[in-house]
Amino acid sequence: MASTSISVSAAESPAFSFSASTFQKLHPVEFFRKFISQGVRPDGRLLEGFRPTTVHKNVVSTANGSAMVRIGGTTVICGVKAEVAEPKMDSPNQGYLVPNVELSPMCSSSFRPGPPSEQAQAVSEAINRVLKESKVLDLTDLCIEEGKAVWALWADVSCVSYDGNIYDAALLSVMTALSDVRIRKPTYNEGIIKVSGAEILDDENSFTLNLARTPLSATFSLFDSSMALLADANAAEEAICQGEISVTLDEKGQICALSKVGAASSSQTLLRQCIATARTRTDELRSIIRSQ
Amino acid sequence: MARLDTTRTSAHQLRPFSSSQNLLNRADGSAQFDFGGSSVLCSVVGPAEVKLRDEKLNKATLEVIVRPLVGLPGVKDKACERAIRETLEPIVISALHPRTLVQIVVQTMKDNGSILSTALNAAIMALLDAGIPLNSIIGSVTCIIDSKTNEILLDPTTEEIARAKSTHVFVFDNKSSIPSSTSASMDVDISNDDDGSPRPLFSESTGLFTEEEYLECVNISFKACQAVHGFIRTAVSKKIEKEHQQTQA
Amino acid sequence: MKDTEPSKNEREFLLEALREGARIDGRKFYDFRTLRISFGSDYGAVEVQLGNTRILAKVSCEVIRPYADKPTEGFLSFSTEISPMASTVFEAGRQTDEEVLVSRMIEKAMRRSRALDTEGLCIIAGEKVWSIRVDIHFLDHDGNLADAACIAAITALMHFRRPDVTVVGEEVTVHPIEQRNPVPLSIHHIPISVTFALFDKGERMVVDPTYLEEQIMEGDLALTLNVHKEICALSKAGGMPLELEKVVQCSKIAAVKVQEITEQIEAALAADKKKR
Repeated sequence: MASTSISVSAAESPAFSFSASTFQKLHPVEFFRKFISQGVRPDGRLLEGFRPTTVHKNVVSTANGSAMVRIGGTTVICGVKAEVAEPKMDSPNQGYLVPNVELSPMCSSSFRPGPPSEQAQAVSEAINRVLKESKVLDLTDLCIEEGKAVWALWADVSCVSYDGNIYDAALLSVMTALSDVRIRKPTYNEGIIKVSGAEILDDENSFTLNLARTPLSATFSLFDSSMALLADANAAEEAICQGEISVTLDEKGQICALSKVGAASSSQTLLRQCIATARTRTDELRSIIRSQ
Repeated sequence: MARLDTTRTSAHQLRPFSSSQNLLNRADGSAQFDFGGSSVLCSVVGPAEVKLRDEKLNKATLEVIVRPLVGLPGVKDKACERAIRETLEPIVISALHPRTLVQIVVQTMKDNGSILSTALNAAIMALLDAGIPLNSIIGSVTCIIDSKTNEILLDPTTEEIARAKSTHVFVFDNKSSIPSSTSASMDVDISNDDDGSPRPLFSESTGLFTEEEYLECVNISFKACQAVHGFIRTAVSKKIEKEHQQTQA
Repeated sequence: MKDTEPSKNEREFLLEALREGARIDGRKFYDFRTLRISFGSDYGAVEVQLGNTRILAKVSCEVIRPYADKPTEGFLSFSTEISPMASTVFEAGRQTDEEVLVSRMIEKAMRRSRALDTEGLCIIAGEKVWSIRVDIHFLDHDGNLADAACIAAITALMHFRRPDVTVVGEEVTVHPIEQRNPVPLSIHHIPISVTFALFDKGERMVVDPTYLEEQIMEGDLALTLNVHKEICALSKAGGMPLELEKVVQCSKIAAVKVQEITEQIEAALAADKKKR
């Protein structure tokens, strides 16, 4: 691609011409628009193409459950840690499930060190709402002794390499890690909690989580006022897109979350198209998880 | 079927809404918007000096700060800030004021459900009050699907949201209420994506629902948003008329 | 964002007017601006307007575990972060000196003067107590945030009702407000703060300064008193030195103002009670 050159003023002479990479640096949006008008993207994908995705379970031995997810150049690791905590006074038999997404300067130079950025907090909150409002886990399952002790599950997502579409990657990693969680069975006796010390965990001395559903998502970026739909945008594409549509579905095809932000208003045809593509994509993700 | 909010008789009834503009002296523009027992005050400052770090060379920087009624701003408020900013960014003609800051501060005054919608309506009215150039007016409503009756309830209260199976927040701009034939001729780009149906500018839905339910929510909310648009239009024209009379006197 | 200094003309005009015994908004030296107090539909939500200064106070409560060394003490906390809504001088998440002063003032006036009976917030000693939280939202800044915040905070605490509780053995039942009449907090006394702005080396003192007066003043003196003429807090944070007699004079003026404001607060609360 670097060898091809794009002529800016076609018929006029003298014609200025740049190498493709210079043109991309000078006019990133125009460069991109030329690709989109041909129905392809600079990385060779079609508009509706998702990047290759891999999922690995149980990658962190110290966590109760973990997963590593790769979507193209984006890599995230999710570790779920179970800790004993005191329940809230108004919900004495409910445990906690707290997702948290961290976007550190390690994964991209566009993130600063310090408190979590607005983007990181927004993704954490979006995942939190999906887990809570589509009732993924019954929090009373995490009760050890009512009013005294419950399990708190910290689902920490750490982004190792950032190349766009963090929501899809983070949600996929959280759901896979939750399905991988195994917690030692506790016994409560007058304020003292004992957990089984067995080396090999089986169904006798430990338990897994009973997940009601597995919501997975597909995110599309909206380019330009033409509202071209780009599936699974990478970081460079995200930077020049104005809006996003994200669809989260469970295995029965029910919608767990749907959001459209930014850009111009979108028609229902476009929304339907997103939902339909998301169905195919999340089915594909489910088979990737199963093949693990 | 009866609603939990007994002051209303029908599922598609909005609570009485009211607003007042230009309440604050230090801000360039301000507005308070009420949906029944929910109330949000919003202030706008701008175009003002922008921090070098946030400066954009070709347009104004939009900053949104959301302050909750109780407690310190948390993750939820950050997500809310992002939603409001990303909804208003395409509405504000920011290219007219490059290298400046437009700051929007959102303060919840009373919370009885549908706060994000109330905040968005307050924000657009405050922007109008501040005289920030806009390319359209937005209106927002929230609806839920009740878990017991499966009915779509507009503008839910906190109590109704607690029983919801899914919650949906919508924003429509007043461009999408123009009949498709005229809008297509005005804006060529949109014509290839125009099916004549209501076009949400912002949509945020959580819970469990089907595609059909979602699209029904879009249509019902769109109709309700027309009322909000109409209200904002009347409120603004009344205010301008009054100001005009005052300057004449 | 940095604030613009008042112009030389504005400054001279204001000072000259004071020397002739007038304030530029027409007030007398020891007059407060018009105080408006309005209540929200919920208990403990109060909006206070002192001239153009506008503040919203909201009281909330929850049941929590007390500290081990103070098993019968409830909690009272204030959040006084000044929002950029009040003025662009304030940035979200960054404290200014003014903010620190206001929050310290509130803390001293309300908590350290024991205006609220925190022992009365105990449900089961060592197990459960009420934690009362007052969120003070600064909406519009036209000077004297401290006095306005103080009025808003104490009025909100007086207006607030917490849900009733019944204790049977170890079991605590919190009755929702709809089911059983909620209970007011027990308040020992009503501290009211009165701020003086000092000009011309203390020769001229004015009560309840506006924003412009605050910008030009040489120093200030804030006194917090209750109707029993007890001083709860006194703060003179820098500025020019002040003779002792002046402080005594101020405290006498403040005692009168406190009386007036307390009456206004009580009248507003009584009027609201009638409506409910």
